[in-house]
Amino acid sequence: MRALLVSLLLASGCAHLPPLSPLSPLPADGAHSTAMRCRQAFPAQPWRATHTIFASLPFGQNGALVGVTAAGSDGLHAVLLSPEGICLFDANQDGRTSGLTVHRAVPPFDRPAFAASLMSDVGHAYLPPAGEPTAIGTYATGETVCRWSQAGETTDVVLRADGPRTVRTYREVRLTREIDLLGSAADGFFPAVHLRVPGVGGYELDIRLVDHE
Amino acid sequence: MSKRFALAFGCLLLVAFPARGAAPPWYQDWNSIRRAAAGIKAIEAAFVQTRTLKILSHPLVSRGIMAYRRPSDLRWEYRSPLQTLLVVRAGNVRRLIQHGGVWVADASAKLEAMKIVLGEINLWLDGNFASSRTFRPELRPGQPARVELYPVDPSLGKIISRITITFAERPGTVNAIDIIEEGEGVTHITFEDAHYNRAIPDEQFEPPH
Repeated sequence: MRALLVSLLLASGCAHLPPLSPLSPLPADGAHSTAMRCRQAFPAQPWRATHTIFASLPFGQNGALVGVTAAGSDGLHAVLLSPEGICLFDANQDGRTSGLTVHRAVPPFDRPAFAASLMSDVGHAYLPPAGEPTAIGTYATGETVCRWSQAGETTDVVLRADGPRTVRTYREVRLTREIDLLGSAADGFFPAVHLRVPGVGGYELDIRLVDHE
Repeated sequence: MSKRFALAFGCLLLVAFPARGAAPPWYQDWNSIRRAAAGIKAIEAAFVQTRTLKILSHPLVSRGIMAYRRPSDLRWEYRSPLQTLLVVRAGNVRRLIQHGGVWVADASAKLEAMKIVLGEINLWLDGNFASSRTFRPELRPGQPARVELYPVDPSLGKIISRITITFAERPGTVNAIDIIEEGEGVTHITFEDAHYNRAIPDEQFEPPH
């Protein structure tokens, strides 16, 4: 038992963000072109999009919904519809203050943490982090990464030869979301996005693009 | 001008005083609606569902098929953009979603608003609007004739302000359903390529294997 406790303490003590090594060779324009490529993980604003969402929740609680989202200078607007077209959730996140206004939340989407969690999922999958990357480098696996760190939250955009493929978010050093971008993007929209929130109470969202404008 | 007025007046008279001997419409009252619906033993149809939303410049369109067999078997299947299936056989309700090429159970069947609407479909198909304890029906015999359903429970009224069922010419059949939500948004469902009273195999009302 003591060994287990020591191991856990050691593990938590050693927890850290994946280290980044400097880009080698450094691109001629510094890291500017790499940052530009990382931003291709996200559609250019303003935009509106419709997705189907398959949610795999704990204890086999699966559900299917239609998500309608819009993003622009005024913020993020997200609507969830049942297959029958009934509006289950409708909220806005102000672009300047980040203040959240919930216009409608039908049970079970009226739980206190749901609105913030949903807007955070949508935001991390479709909105670029603010400002320039705080670091650009490579993982130990050789993948190129743009890293944004701000107020205890870190976002890594992982590039492969064909462009951005994964977005990871961390709270301090804990992985909070892993988002895989699947297929070939058109106007910054990938045909499919797989979002995974790890841990107890974690869930997965399989998001398929229906339409965007 | 006077010709136009005469034509309009003539039309008004025709509506107000139909020709003597013309059969009353099948949607004249609740009893005639129930009698007409009783003549429909089975329905198979495709449907198109359009949902307007302020944030979208054009409506979201969903397509699917439905089947109904007396007394209460139902299949309601969305084929795009989501693939979901509701089957009701002998009172057994199953709701499934297609994901990764396989059908999996849909836990969102627990959503109260959906359960209410789906639970009402059987009453509608029975022409039995007046028996609903969830909605207060009002018959609007104009053209097109329709029933408007108002939620009895105010908490449901916060989600759905009314449902309109528009009748088709064929006795006992429905042309369209509109679900009008509180605030903004209308879901409009129209039926097409409908076949009536054909034998429908049991498998249509069972979950896929």
